[in-house]
Amino acid sequence: MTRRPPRRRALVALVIAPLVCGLALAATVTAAWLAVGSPRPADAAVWMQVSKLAGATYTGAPEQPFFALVVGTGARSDDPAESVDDPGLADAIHVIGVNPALGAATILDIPRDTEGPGGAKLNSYIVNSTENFGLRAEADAVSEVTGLPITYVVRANFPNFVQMVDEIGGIDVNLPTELVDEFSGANFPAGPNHLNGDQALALARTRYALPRGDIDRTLNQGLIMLSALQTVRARPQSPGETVRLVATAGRHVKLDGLGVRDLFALGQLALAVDPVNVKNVVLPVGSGGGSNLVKTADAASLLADMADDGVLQSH
Amino acid sequence: MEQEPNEPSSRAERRAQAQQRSRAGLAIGVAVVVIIAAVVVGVLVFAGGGGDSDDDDGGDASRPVANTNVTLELGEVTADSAGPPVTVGPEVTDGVIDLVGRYLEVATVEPLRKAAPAGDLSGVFDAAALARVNGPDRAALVDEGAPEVTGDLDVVAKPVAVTGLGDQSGNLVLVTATLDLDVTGATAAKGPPLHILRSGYFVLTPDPAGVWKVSAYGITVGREGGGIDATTTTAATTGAGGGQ
Repeated sequence: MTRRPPRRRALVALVIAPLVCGLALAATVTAAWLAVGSPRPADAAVWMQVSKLAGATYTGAPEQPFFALVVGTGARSDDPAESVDDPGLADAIHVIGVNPALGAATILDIPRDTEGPGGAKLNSYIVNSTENFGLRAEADAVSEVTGLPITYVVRANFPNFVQMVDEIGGIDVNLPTELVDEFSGANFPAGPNHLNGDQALALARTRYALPRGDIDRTLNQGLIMLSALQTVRARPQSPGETVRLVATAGRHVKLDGLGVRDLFALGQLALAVDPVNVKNVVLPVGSGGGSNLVKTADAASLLADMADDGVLQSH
Repeated sequence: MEQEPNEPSSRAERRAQAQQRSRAGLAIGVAVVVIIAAVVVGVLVFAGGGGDSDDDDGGDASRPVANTNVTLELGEVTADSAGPPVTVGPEVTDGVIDLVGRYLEVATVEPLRKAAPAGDLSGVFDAAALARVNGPDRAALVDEGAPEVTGDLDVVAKPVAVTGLGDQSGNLVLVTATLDLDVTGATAAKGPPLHILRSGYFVLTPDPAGVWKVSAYGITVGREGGGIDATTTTAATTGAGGGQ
């Protein structure tokens, strides 16, 4: 009989939200949800928190690119008192650069063990501050490592993940290779797969069956976000539909520093981006001190390419 | 017996004098006709009836009057909310239709009728959107540069569907309005009339004074006929926003 690794809780925490976190995924959830005839949720569960960081230089001009940090944690709540069994480390970290004028975006997947300022792992800064529920500290650390100015932070927690995916009727993901992992429960053939909530969680958790472990896992999480965007874009679109999507999402999102009007604008942006114009890349990292990972020499040019206009051109 | 000095001396002389009097009368008659003809022509010219002027303001009863017909009406009205339910009342929908009507007048009707630049659109678009309408998106939003429409001008809009969005406190914070226009106008150019198809949407939000204006849009326009080559232009202003 195979025993699961002792770090099961951490694994579960890893799964989490990057999948559901992205703005595009929020739209997917609501769109599909509406499509199956459930105009309102059974309860007012909070799927995620969206914060606009104070002092961000982004003005909202269509020509101006912006960057959003997406983090997934295992915490049950943004309030530590309500999540005593999990500190809520940022075990999934993604920076999404968006260029509205180009209708393009880049998802930068950052391994959780990447070394941050002062030598700590990048997933830990979120629990070291109470400002914006730790999101400011996490964003500052990610900005320092990547050089990318963060305007928005999206945080999703574990408990609603399976529910969310099931409510939208599942997610269609096209896997490049077969994926079988007894620890996560993943068992998917290569090619198109329709995943329910539990299966999506398994895909997001899978690490041991992947050649590069956590690095490939974070890449798969980016793939799931892309798949979600494709699902949304495949549905009929109209201004009225966007209103309904945003209204539904707004009932499940905690907003901090921005309002529903901003959420609508973000939703419009997400729907305007063709997945063909979205790149999904992992921050190049190598072994550092202890279990830390550090940026490799290749990272500098990649980050410079992304920083100038929000998206990668030469990578 | 002595002969009078002017008395014709013979039959031949009397005949010659008669012919002279006949030629003088003919010359006088021709001169009178020429003078009358000149006067008539002059009167006609000064009266404007015989010129080749481009001026259409002469009240020529034989030329048909060019009409401008704008068809604009409210369509389906719906709303959804991130919080307590909201409704989009007639005070809002009336304002939306009025605003779209002003947009059609300033951006389409006037430029096509006068072949002149569009007027002020600051009452339609908020400051940020107006900057783009007056800049990079102008070709998609305004019908300038097209041939003058000298015949009938028909602007037909499909019913404008309005959808409202409420925030988490149940306040109506924005409405969307669909825009689907079919514009046809006769120009002086040979060939088919000018035909403009414009479709997309407006996003309207209240400004600080509470006046609803267009703050974002997504518009596609195609133009053909009326002496211009077919063109298609697309414009959208969609930033991630700065307000709440």
